[in-house]
Amino acid sequence: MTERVFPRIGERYFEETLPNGLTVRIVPKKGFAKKRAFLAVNFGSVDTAFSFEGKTYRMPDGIAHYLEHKMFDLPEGDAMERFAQLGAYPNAFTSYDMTAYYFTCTEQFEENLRILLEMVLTPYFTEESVEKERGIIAQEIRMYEDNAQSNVSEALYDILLRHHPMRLPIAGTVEGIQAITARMLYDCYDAFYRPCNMMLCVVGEVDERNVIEIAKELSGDDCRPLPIRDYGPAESLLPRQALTEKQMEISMPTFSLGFRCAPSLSGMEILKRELVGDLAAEILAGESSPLYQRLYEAGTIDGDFTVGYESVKDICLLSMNGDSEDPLGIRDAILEEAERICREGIDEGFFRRLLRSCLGRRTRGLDSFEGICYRSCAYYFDRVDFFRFPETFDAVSKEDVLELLRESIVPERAALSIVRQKMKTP
Amino acid sequence: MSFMITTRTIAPGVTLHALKSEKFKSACFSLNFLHPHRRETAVLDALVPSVLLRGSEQYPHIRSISSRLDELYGASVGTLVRCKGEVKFTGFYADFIEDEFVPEGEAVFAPVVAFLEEILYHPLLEGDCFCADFVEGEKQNLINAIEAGLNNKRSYAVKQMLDRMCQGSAFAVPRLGYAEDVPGVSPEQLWEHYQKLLRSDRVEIFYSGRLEADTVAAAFAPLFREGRDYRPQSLTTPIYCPVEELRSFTETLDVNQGKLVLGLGTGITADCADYPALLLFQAVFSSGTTSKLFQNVREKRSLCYYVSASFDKYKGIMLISSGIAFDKFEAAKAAILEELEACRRGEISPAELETAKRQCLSSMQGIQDSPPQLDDFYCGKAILPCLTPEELIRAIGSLEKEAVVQVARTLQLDSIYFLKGEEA
Repeated sequence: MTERVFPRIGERYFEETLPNGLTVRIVPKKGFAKKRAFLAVNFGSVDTAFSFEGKTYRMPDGIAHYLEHKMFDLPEGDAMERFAQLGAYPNAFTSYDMTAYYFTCTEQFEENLRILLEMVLTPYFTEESVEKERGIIAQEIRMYEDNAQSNVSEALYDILLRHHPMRLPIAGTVEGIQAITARMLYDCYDAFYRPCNMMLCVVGEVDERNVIEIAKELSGDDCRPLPIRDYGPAESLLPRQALTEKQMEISMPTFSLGFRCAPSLSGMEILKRELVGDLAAEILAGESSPLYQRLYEAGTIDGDFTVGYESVKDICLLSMNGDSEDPLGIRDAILEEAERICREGIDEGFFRRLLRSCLGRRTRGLDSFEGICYRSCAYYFDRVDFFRFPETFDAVSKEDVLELLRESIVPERAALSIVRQKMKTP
Repeated sequence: MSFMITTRTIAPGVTLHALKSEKFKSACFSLNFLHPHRRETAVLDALVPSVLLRGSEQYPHIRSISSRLDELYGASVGTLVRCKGEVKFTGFYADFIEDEFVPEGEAVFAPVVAFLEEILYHPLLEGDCFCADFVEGEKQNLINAIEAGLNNKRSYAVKQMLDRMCQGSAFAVPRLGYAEDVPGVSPEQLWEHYQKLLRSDRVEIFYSGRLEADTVAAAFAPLFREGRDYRPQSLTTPIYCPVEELRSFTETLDVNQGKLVLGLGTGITADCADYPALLLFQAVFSSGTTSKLFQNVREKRSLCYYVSASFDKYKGIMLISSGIAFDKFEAAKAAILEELEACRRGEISPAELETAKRQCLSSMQGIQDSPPQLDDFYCGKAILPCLTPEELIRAIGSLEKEAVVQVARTLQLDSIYFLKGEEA
């Protein structure tokens, strides 16, 4: 077990990679009543095509999410119940590239941790239980279908990409999930749910040695090689389509505008790129940018307008989201502003202020147990230690930001997804 | 567990609740002006903080405001417009890094308070009044925000239900007011409303961070030294009286999922002796994955993805809401009511009761780790005296099953709302 200390942000953690490949990280937090354990599997909705032990698989879309729902079943009953009896709040989520199971509790942490590990390391699916879940998941999908935010961002990924499975909704479609069987869940489980493809992150006042011992005892010894994932042919950075529109029962148009960026490299470069991406987004159209002020004062955007940098595996993009009567005008204004910035450069004072702001916000983010767990695991799967983020602040320059803007915020990269109000039929 | 909350009176009608806590990297505070929530003032209450955050003498536009906050290591200061029962809390919420994490010699807390003072007392004016441009811009944003209530169908269904259940009472007035009331607001009227808040409203400040209460009180005191003419007002919420005959409401929109809401009167508010039993009932009935609703309506019958009951501790209303397929309306309603009947018949096992108690204790203990939850709790306690989380833990721990059954029997279903699709 190694201990690492990060004096600049007042944090430290203990970490050990077990012989079976499972990495366990414990982040002590003094004075908190709650404790959180988070077990992440490097397996998400995009992992539907893969080859493993000589066989090639093509699973129905939404299978990672379906599997997440069924992991709570144990031969002796429902793990939810056992958590609840110990006063813990368990939950799970599936994203494009991760499935995570976690709980928060204030008491009996180690007993709860045992349930979590046992649950994720014990596959138990029957055709009957898989069948029963279909109606529940169908209603979950219907709920997302009525949500304009999910619609607008899913449609953006769809036009940004040609083959990559990130084009498809995480939970799949009601029609698509009909094909999912217990056999398929076992196949996915067998390929991906292995200690060497997981990370356990614990935050709170716990005994770190006991956590490691419990993880050793319950995480098995499966060391077989991991499957090879297939995301299809390499994706062009140009969108498949520049614009997509649909209509829903909402009050005003909502949009998501995206510009793909070349994939980040590896290691600390990933952390640095994210900071550069955030700074580029802020300089371009963040709350303290000239463009934001202009659009806000003109009433084109409101306080819900957001900008940011996101990346899933090799798909990276700068994006802008909000509600507006004029999404096309916003796209043009963004392109024009990027051109101006690249021509005129970035004001030194503005750049310094944004660096302070990003550093402050990231440091404050360490108050969130959820954030620490999620980031620890997401970055670990990319082989990066996210606690080292303050170092990247010393390494970024205005030139890095300009380069990203120059390369990405150009008309041929722009993809715009709009959901408009439904026209009332007279 | 202990909540190190210290309460100080800073000026007449101005109270500070300070939580001393060293475990967070962020400190935060909320500053709230309190008065009765009424239709006539609802849109004004929503506009005041938004217009103030548009510009001041020193920071004359949103860009200079954001730049100042960037300089303060990404501090955030946002508007806060809340209703607790029929009481409006309008003001600001600030969230910023603790001074310990910024380089030697720099500070953030004092500058954030100074920033707020500037925003409150030196707004950019035109003549003796708010800038007309700012007011017009925020009026449009408010209309959009109110109309956006349609976008989230789950909360939309709940809002529509409350509108119908509480027709004619202030509780039915949406938090941000009605869109149709916005266009008529003039800068003069808004300015006058603001002056009244500043002068005579009760003010509640909640702070969480590393500073001592006295230090925090001293920092806020200059904001309320002059010009106050505090007029105590009654800040109460009449309890909901269920109607005798069951009412049914249906609405049609172009949606893929139906939303079912059942409305009940609880007869119990946070100051009642039965309140701990209501919390325990909610845990047995609907919170978490072992609750009766989750187990029987979702897991056993696969009728929905979510089904949950929430209650308003000021008004005495409980709403049970669920997202279902259109053709499952009758089945879901019957299944939910069957679970309520089971509680009334006393069909609650010792294990269910024990699990529910643990869930309650765990969520009460968790409050101390969440400044926003503490803020919410202590602001609420300021208008409705109630047990503290520690006292609630003790009270719930000693409850017997009969108390929960009694609560279930008191609940009175009086309204059913269903949002369905056009083709259903």
